[in-house]
Amino acid sequence: MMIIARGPQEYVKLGTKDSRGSKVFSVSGDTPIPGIFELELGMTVQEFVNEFGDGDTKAVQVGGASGFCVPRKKFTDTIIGFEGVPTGGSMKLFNSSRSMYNVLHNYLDFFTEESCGQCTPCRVGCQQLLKGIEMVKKGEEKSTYLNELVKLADTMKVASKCGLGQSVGNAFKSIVENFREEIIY
Amino acid sequence: MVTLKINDHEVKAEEGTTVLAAAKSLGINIPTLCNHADLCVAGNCRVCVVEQKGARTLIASCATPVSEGMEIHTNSLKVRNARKHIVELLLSEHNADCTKCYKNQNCELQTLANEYSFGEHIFLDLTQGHNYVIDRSSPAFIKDDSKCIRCQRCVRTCSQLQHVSAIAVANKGSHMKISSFHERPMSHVVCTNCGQCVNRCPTGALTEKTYIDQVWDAIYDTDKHVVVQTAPAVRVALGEDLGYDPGERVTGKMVTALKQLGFDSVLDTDFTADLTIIEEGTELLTRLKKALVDGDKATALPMFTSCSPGWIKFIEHKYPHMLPNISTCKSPQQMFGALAKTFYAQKRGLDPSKVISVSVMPCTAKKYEADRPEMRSSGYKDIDFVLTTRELAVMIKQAGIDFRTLAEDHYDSLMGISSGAAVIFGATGGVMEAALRTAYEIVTGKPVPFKNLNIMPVRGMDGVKEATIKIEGTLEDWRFLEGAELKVAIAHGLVNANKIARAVSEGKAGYHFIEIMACPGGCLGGGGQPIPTSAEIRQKRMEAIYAEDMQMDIRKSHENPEIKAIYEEFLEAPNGHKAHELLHTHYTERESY
Repeated sequence: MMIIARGPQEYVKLGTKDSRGSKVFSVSGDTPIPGIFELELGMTVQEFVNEFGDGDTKAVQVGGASGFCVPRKKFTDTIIGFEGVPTGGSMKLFNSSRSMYNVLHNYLDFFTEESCGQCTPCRVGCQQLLKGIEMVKKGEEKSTYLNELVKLADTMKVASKCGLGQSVGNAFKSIVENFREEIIY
Repeated sequence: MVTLKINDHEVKAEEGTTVLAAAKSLGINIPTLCNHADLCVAGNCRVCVVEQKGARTLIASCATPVSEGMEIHTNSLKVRNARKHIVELLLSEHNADCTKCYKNQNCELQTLANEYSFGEHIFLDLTQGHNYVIDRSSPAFIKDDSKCIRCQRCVRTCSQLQHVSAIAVANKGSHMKISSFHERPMSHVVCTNCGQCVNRCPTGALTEKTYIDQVWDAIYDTDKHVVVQTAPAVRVALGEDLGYDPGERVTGKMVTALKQLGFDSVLDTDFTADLTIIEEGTELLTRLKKALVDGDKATALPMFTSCSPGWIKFIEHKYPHMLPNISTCKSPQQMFGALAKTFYAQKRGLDPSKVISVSVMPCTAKKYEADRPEMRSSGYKDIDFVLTTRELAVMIKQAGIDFRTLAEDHYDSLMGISSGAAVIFGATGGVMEAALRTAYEIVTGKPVPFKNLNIMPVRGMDGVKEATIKIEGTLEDWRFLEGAELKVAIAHGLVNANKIARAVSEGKAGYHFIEIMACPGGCLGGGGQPIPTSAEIRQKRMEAIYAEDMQMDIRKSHENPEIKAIYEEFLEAPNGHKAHELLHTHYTERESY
């Protein structure tokens, strides 16, 4: 829209060196104003939350299920764009009523289903991550088992055949690293 | 040429070579699972991942061509960790009940597990979460999904080599599996039982249905007389399962081993291969006469060979309107079975109900063929049990026989003498060559005009071969063929068979006689042959077959004295009444889905 309304010269003045211009975002989750918005790239997650949060935002999932989860303590120094967290446009806000275990479980359930099933790291890796966090939650695996799962997520990132399997580790690692106690207890 | 570095060693490779192949040329082995020399690249197991300098991810070496200046590490810590994870992931989905598995110690996953996954498993057992099914419905093979690693070698084999696609990938994600049309049992889909998938399965997910125990029971039943026949292609491949290199002929040792196993009589399928030539050659000449002299429009030409039960099932499903074009001759195995419980039993004074007929075949489709309801013309099941080459190797090992030290022996007589023409049945083009050696001589009274009787145009590994033989100097009875050009074609692998069948179906092929073998290379590349298989291995087996032919005293089927005798004493005349009753069959139209 911006490029049509103001022309290319004005458009390129927006954003940062690596993430030029604006982008259409889909804002959802715990926000009073869900919808489609065109925003300038290069803002911090804090700036985004100030605009869209409900006052109780504890995390923002930037880039959908294959993207990264940014916790509250990192809002101010995380830039939305290639310098920080790149995104296809999906922005999902979570407030403190949400269980990040459920969020992660939901994502892994999605990937276990949506993997095409061809390559080993993605097909079996997704199932292992999903079952793995379930077992840790139930106390049937030690909490240190999460460390093995993080290593597995790294393998999926470098050994999967396509971008889907390669990006499962993004959400998994950023949620497990930032909300470890919520996954375990 | 492209120059690259693998593990710091510089190597030159042709453009288009894979990193996997370039590494191999340096003596560096990269493990693989989904990769197979006969099949297109899949790159889905990811076991062969290697590190490429500057690349964001690891790369699959089987699927990546070399490029100038590439720097590859095949064994870095990053690679080893990923590979270990991948093997562990495969094991977590795999029913690793190895001691109960037919493929124990002959399993590519097990080999990798030995290298990468000793000690405690890292990951959770997922086998319980899958509702794995074991399909035992086919008489030829067992499909056990709990052993499947989804490498899709079988799927690629079935579509790429065989043009059948009896099995394909179904579902996605964790539900992804190798399945059949509408998840029907394998006995109720368009499957030719060729066993090419079985031959290429890296694990125990696809195995032949084994009859080893039943055969042992028969051997030790003193009330039973157990005869065994061995197909031509077995003798040039059995050695591979017993420590020999591909292409070693072990005919004499195999006969000794079979005698030591306790078979009452060790006989040769080659005998009935010779008989097939007489029957099929006569049938061809009769068809030609009917069509050319009598002007009988109902005579179906070209005539297809009928030795390959995989091919028979293929045409029954896919081109049922061409069933009249298939020779009515049974395959050599089934001719042998019918004679074993009639002629052989009579001559030996045996009660045919006490004769157990076992065959050793390079083939899994033969197990299906033996089970066909029409294969009971002796009044009994003509062939009781079919063993593959692999199963015979297992029996030899079970019996504790030191194969290498065995003396060489000869087949027993009465259906044990054969010609070189019969031996070459085991290679693509062999039936054609054998038939021409005999038919040409019947018609002209002279041997085929090729040096040493070797009809080179019909030999070799081209998918489809064509040849034209000019018939000159005919005898009195065959004057109508004087100057005629007999056009023949040969195809092996059902994908090639399909090309010819379609051309014939569309009326675009002017052939008279067509030899089809369902498996790549013919029987020597059969689904029941030792694993692994590759173009080089099949080439060596083929050379062994032709070497075996050259050293035979008799090179033409019609000169086999036992063949002459069986017509005089028992069968009366080729294509005669008795021959028709015992040696010929009919085919069944089947649905194409």
